[in-house]
Amino acid sequence: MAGEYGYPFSSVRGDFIRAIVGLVLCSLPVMFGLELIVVLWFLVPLIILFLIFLVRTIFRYVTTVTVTEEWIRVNSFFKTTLYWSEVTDFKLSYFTLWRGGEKGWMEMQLRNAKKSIRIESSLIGFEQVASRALSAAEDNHVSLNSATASNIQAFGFNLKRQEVSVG
Amino acid sequence: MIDYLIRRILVMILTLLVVSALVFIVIQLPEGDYLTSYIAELESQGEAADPQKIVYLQKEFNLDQPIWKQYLLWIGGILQGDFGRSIEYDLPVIDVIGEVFVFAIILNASVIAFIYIVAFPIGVYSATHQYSWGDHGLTFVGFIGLATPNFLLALILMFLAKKYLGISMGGLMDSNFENQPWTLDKVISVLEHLIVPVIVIGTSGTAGMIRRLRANLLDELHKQYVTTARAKGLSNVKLLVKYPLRMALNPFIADIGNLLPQVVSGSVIVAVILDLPTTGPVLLDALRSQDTYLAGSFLLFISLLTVFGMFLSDLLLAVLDPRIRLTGGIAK
Repeated sequence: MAGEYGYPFSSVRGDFIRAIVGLVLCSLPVMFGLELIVVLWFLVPLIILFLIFLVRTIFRYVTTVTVTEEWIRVNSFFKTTLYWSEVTDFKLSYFTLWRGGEKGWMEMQLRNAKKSIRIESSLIGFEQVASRALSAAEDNHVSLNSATASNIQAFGFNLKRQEVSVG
Repeated sequence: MIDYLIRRILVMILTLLVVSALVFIVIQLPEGDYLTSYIAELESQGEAADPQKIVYLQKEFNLDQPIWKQYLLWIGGILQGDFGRSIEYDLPVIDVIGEVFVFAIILNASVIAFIYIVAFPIGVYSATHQYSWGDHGLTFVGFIGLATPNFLLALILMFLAKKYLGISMGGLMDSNFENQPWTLDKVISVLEHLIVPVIVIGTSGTAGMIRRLRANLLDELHKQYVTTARAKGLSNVKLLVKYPLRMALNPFIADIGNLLPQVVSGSVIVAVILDLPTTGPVLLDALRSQDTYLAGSFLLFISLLTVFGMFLSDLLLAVLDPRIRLTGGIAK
């Protein structure tokens, strides 16, 4: 269970390409001059969003997740450590860009009173990390929302207790 | 969530680029172009077209260029806020659309509000009072709403209003307010004239929405957790609002994507019949005369509404209920 995990380049390559394509598509009209200044209202927020995405992708690429029996640490340019005994919230969300619901990704969010960490399913070893986090959430009697409970079951984890709040 | 938002925005941008290419190609598919129609029209009136003018127009509107170059010039212009020039009106597209666009937005926003405000309580009532007289009556009205074409309803209402009330329902305001600056009286006139178009355009959407909400809510109401909650003594209203209604809202939200373009394209014929100064009649004329840039901009706008509507509904669903809805496998 204990170990260090990271995001391989192959898992962030797509996001680097998306960020750059988005930046180029939204910046080109600005660089070539605008006839209608109103267009700027749409393009500038988009450029900012894609820049944020690029920065987040870089952060994700350099991130390592360390798991021990006592805590989980997400280490990128900053360090965030969360003790398992302090976990107060556990969410497992599923997102997809496909109408059929396939080819999506999971996002796990863990919180204590002060901090939160977010881990994507493209992390090598995500199953082990999520399994340990779920176990901590159950030990701390964290109530799970229905989407999280449904995703846990779809992902193949077994809930020790069926303490699920609908909503 | 933010990663989902940004990835989804990129998909939206790329989809719009593909749609814009398809729109441009489809408009060009019929034989000839605006100029050939123009020359044929002149010849049918016994006049000859001025060859110099034809050459000038060809150059002015890039009609002498290959289609891919025309497209790149058009889309390049749009990305910079220049939607091109309408050949028929000899004005920038943005000026042709101008005020009609504002009216279209007012009308369509009113229709969408009408659909949600009417459909939501009726759908909930129908589901919670299944097989009651009220449910049967509303279901019957819903079926009629679904089965009646908008243009037919418009014609019937126009006829009834003229015959029994002696009023003409055409236009979106009294004629004395046309081309006048906006005043309170003008706003009131617009609101009065909005009632009928909103009912006509909104009826089928409302009926469809009622049916879907009723069906979804009934599915939820028959689930075991509802029985359990009732057995535990939860009040009916609290039980309904807190659990099944929230679950039944998912398809309701997913419908936003279809609603936006449906309302715009569905209002084209109604706008022609009711003589509404919205985008519909202008789009129809532009398509008939192969006014490429004007028609293309309109169709792109409708596509934008579709794609944006889908984006909005996907985003709301991702926020409200980010769970796996399986038809395929889960990828990493």
